[in-house]
Amino acid sequence: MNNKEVSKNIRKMIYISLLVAMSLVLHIFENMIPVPFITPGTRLGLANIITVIALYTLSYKEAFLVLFLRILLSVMFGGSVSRLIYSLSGGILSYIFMVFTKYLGKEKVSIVGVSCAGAVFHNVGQLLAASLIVKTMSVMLYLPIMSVAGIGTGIFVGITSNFAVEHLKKIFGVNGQWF
Amino acid sequence: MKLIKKMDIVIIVILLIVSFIPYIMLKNYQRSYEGINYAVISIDGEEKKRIELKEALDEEFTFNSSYGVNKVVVHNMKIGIVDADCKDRICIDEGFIGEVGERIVCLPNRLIIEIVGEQKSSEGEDVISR
Repeated sequence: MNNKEVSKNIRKMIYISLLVAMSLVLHIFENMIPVPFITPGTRLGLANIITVIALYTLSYKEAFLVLFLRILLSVMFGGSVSRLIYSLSGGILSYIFMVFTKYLGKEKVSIVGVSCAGAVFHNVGQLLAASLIVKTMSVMLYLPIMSVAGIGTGIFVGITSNFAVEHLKKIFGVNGQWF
Repeated sequence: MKLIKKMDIVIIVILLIVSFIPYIMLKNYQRSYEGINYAVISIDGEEKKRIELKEALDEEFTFNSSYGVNKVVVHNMKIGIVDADCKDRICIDEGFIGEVGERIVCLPNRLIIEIVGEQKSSEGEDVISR
């Protein structure tokens, strides 16, 4: 490994850790905002901004690392085991479907579409986990109202991360192809 | 890069449709039970009476037990409590029920009315469609 390679790896590592730190701050911050909604546990999904940014600036593997570290650390900093189950099921399912829409859509789908898919499937994953825990499928009846809210915040998240990615591309390049 | 593209709107519409699937599935599940609905009335966990909710049935029942008295009325394929000697009278405020899975509970008198269904058999459907 030559010097250039090493410095590139270090830069990438610092970038990943910065993303994780920022998503943790957003996660704590959004816990402080009360969301006026019928269903308890509804959040804005601000931390998803970081996941989407990671998806557009890093490789799929590294983006997953950012998401996984965020979930693990946020539960460590103040959460319970059940919170971990909900976060993991929602996070992983939303990640899978974000990669899916990004991969299939290619140039036709913008960040807004990807983040909306992520937001809705985050809800799907959480509700699936909830219905497995309480053993009734009737929990899934919350899905329509939660997806409408999720699409609303998903559009907002998409627009926000679009601005961020536009600027980050100038520094880092696209999809893991770093300068 | 254009912010919102045509495919994004397509994706959002698809996501909205997908999110309504469980709702529709559950409604269909309830509909498959629409054959005959029974109202099961139990006091202290013990089944006291099973009433078939037929269209023409219009009847009044009184349930006496050591816990209290409840007056139950069956009307228009629905069942409800109209009078009770308990303090809170929450069971009366619940109104009339008729869908499978619904229930009225009168906690002081330990009385529970539960709607249970019987699956519609495919033969019965054929007779109707003929």
